[in-house]
Amino acid sequence: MKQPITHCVLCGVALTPVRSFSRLLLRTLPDVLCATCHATFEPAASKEAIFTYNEAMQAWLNQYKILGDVLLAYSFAKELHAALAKGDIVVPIPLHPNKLAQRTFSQVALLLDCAEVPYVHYLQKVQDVTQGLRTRTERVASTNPFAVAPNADVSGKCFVVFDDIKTTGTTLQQARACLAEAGAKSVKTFTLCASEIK
Amino acid sequence: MKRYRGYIPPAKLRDFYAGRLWDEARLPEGITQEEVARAKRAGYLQAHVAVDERCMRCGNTHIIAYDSYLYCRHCLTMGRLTNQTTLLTWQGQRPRFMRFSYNESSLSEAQASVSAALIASLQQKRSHLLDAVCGAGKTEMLFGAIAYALKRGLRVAVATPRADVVRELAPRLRHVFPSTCMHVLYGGVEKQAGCPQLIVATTHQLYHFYEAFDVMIVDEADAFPYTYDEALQRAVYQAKKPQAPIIFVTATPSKTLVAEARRNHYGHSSVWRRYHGFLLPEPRYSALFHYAKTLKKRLPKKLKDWTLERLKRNEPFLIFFPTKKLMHQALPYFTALDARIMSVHAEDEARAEKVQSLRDETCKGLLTTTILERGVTIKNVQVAVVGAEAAIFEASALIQISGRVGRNANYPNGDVVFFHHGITKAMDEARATIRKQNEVKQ
Repeated sequence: MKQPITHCVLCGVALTPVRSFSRLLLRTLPDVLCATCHATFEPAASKEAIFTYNEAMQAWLNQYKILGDVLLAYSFAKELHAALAKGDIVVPIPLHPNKLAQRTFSQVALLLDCAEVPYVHYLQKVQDVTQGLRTRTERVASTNPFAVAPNADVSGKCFVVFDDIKTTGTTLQQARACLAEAGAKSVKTFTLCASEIK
Repeated sequence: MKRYRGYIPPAKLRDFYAGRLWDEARLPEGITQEEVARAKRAGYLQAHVAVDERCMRCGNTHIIAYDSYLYCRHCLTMGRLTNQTTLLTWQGQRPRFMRFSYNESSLSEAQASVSAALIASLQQKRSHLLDAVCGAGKTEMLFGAIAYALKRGLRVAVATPRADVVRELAPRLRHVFPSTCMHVLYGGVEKQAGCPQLIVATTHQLYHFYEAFDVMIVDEADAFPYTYDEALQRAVYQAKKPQAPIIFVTATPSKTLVAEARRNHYGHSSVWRRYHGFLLPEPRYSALFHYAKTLKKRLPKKLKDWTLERLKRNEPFLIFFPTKKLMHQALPYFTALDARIMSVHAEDEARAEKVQSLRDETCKGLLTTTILERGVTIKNVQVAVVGAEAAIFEASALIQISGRVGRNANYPNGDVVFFHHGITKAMDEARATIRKQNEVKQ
């Protein structure tokens, strides 16, 4: 994705880049969504997510993950960079190799790539399961599909596990447990969006 | 023609793939990967790389690169194509169509002469532009030409930019050509059996076809998004055989379309009278200044009176709004007048049912965005446009909206009112066009 993005990636409206000293000196990431499209995403109530899972986010995730519109990975680069670039080591939730072959890209790691957030693959997925296809009870009762990557030294380190969406939190809990058991000092979680239980 | 090499592909493969441009990985129902692979090896299916500098399906050249992939964003909603995707085209024998029956309906004199002109154009393999006022009976005029092509075993596509128009056309065509295999294609429709000789589809669905049709009919050729999306126009040309004629049908031909028709010596027919012979209802203006501000607090009096009048007379009505937001703002005031008033917009899944309920009179009136501006026929409907001065209401849109009224021979008149905050050129142009069409003697 070398081409500069000149139009809103969601609605195609021409973007008007704002020229400012802060942008020049601090090298902040450019906007790729127009103001109208950006306003359709609601900020999350909790501090462990940026957005609430609403209709706009559902459509966005569908276009990004299911249809495979990779360019959308830039959408929230600025927000993700601000939240994750400094601090604990970021560990993206990994994809199972089968799933990766099918999807052709790792949607979680790609979000971080585009946001210029450094991360390390301390985790790997050893069971090919998708939480979205299971019921709540199935999810809670399932065994941990994650394992610490071979040759990874986890002990005494502070981590932030990052995923694209949190629904029941099972995936994040399992990833956290996995790292904690291997001797991590602390494990926080962070997601792009979280569904709010009403 | 392929020589016999110890393998005959199953008929279901031919039925599906003939004329199609289809992603190899997306297997249609009832066809297995092995069957496709076998037909491919025998040369019955040809594989094409979907994306290189341009997308083979939509012709878009703005290709996005990531890692080792290239993909097309333009036709993403039809399923993503990358440089690793393979598209298949059918190389075997073309399907032959034998069955034909035609329930001919009686045509008025004007309709019959247009129908004859269309057939004459098809005989010469010449494209044709048919512009006929709203309610002139354009669809009926097409039947003769479609019958002419179907009878000769030709494949015909009737494409239109609006899914609503597809849903409206399909049952009528099915009734007229009962024994022809016809498929109706729009987003989300399920797979249909057999090999279609006649296809009624949205223009988007034509992305899935490649040099398939002998006759292409584009209905409502000036509707959004067809006029704005060059890729859709390419899709129309790609889906038909290179020499196949196109019939463009519209009530409001754009200047470019008329110019194109003249330049390429298309046949051209115009009809200025409705099929029942009555004049087109002329829109009237009614000032409704600062309606956007008023609608935040209450229903403007003129609009309220108009609606109450319709409710009193028990006439179904459509009220057009320039934006979804304004419509939703206004909806509660209308439901307060009568709970059986509903609203529709483009993303509304129950759109078709709501329009049907208006016909069945279980719904009193509909608030709508421009989505219902064309292709909708409701008996004795009355129409109001709120904010007719908005840019989205172009002259062609206003003509189409006015054309919803008085389509039924029993109710040839009705009210068309433009509520406005200032008169625009488009409004005057729409009214002047309708007046001019009414003055032409036939």
